[in-house]
Amino acid sequence: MDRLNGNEEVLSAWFDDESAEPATDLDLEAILRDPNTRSTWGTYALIGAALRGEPLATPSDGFVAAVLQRIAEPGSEAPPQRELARLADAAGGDGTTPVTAANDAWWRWSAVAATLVAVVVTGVLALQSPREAGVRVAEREMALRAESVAFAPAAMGGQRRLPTLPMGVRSVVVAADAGVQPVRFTSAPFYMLAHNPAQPMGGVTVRALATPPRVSTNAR
Amino acid sequence: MGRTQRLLAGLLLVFVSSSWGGASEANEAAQTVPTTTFSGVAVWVRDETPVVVRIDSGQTPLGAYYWTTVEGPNERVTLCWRNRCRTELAAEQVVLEADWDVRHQSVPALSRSLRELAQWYEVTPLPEQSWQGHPANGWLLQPRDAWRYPQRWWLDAATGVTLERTIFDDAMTPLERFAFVRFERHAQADLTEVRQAWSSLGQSDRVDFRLHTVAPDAMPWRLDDLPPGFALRASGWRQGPSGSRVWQWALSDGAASVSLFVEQAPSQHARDTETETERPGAAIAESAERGSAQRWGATLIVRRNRNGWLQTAVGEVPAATLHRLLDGMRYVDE
Repeated sequence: MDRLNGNEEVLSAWFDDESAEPATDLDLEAILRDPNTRSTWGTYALIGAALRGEPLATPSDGFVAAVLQRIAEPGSEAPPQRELARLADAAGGDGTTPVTAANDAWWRWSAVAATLVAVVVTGVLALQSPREAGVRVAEREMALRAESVAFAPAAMGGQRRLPTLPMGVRSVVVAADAGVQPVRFTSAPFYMLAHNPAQPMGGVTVRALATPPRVSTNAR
Repeated sequence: MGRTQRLLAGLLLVFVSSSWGGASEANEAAQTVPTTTFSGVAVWVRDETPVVVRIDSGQTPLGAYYWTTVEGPNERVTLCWRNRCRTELAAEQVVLEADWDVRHQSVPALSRSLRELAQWYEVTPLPEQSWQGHPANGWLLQPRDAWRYPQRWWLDAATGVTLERTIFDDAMTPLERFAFVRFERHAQADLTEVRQAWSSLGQSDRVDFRLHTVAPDAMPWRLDDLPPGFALRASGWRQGPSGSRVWQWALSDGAASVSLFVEQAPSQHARDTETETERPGAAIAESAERGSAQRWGATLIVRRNRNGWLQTAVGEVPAATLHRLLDGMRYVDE
C-alpha cells in the first residue's frame, strides 16, 4: 500500500500493465481496500471503455483483470468498472450492433489519446504534494487546460484537416468549397445550452479522475 | 408547510413526473410507474472527449430539485430547485437563470411512445438485460428515412430513466454516447446541501436565460417545411449573448431533437470578433451559401446569414435535416 498511497502514476502504470515493478497481491489488496483508489481505478476503466465504444469488455488477463475480478466478488462494493461491465452486457454486448467492428482503428486512436491525457495529468497530480497544492493549483489548471486543448478539436485551428483527422468529426457532411475557411463563433455554447441547457459542451474532464464532485448527495 | 408551498410542491411533482412521461411511455411494455428521483454519475462521449457528469434528481419537503455538475475546462454547475434553474459556467463567469423545463434535463429522454416512433424508426427490441441488478429495456431505432440517425436506448425498466443512449451514423459508427456508470433510484439529497449549493452559485454576470414562450403563429418566422415526424415542441425567445433577442423553435421526432434560432445579424466588427475564438468542437468548412458549421459528436450546429438575419440550427440529426429546416424558414413579411 505504501508505494501506492497517493501515487496515481503507479496506479496508472499498473492499469496499463506498464509498470517496471509488477503489482503484488498486497498491492491488489491495497487497491481494493482504499475506496478512492478503487474509484480511480474504475474511472480509468470507465473512460477508456467509453472511448473505445462497445462492448465494454472486462479484460480477461493481467493485473487489471485480477483487480476487477476481486472487485466483482461478493461483498465487494461495486466500483464503476463492475457497473460498466454490467452496462456493457445491457448495452448490446451481444453483438446486436456492429459497433466496434466498424471503427476499431478510430477508437484505438482515441483510446491512445485518452491514455496520454490521463498519464500526463496523473503525472502532474503525482508531483503535487499536499503542502504544494495551494501554489500549484494554477499550474495544474494550466497543464490540464493545455492537455485538453492538445486533444480537443479546437486545436485544429483554422486548418481544413477534417477529412483525415482521426478524431472529432466522423464524416464531413458538406463538401468544403475552395477558399472558404471554417468559422468558429463565440456564441456556439449559447446555442448548445439553449438547445439542451444541461448537456456538457465538450472539454476533457480528466480532473474528475482525482477530484470528487463538488456537490455530494446522501443517497437513501 | 403553507398551503401555497404544498400547492407548489404538488405542481412540481406533477410536472416532474410528466417530464419523464415520454420515457415511461416508451417503457410501457414494462408496465412500470415512472419516478424522477435518482442519483448517478454519467459519462458523455462526444468525439474523443469523455465528460463525466454528476446528476441528481429528487424531492424535498419543499419541492423537486435537479442538479448536474461538470468538471474540467467547461466546469459547470446546474441546479434546479423549485421552479428555477441556475447554470454557472465557471470558465465564462456567467450565471444563466432560467425556468425549469424539460430541456434542463441532461439525461436524454424519449418524448414519444414506441408506437409513434415506429412511424419514423424501425424499432427493434433488444433482449432484456439486468443492469446493476435492475431490469433494463433496450431498443434499437433505425430510421426509415435519411432525416435522422440510428439510435440505441436502454431504459431502466422500473423508472423509464435512460441508462444509455448511443447515436450512430449511417454506417452504425457511434457518434456520441451517454451512459450512466452509477445509478441509484430513489435518491434524496440532503436538503441543507441543496440549499447551500443553490446559494453558493455566483451572483455576478447574471444572464436571464429563460425561454419566453411565444405562440408559433406569433413568431416572426414560419417553419414551412418540417421533415417527417418532427413536430414543434416549444417556441419563443431568449436573451442572446449580445443582449439581443434570439428566437427559438424546439422540435423533436421523439428521439432526436432540433433547435432553430434566428436573430438580427451583428455588426461587421462583431462578426470579425466571432470568428477569432477557439472553442471545443470541430469546425466544418462550408460554402458561403450553406453557411458554417460545427460538430460535437452527433450534435451539429449550422449557421447562415440570410438577409441580415443569423439563422442557427442545432440538432442530433444529419446536416441535410438542418438545411431542410433552415431552407423552409420564411419571414412573415417575405
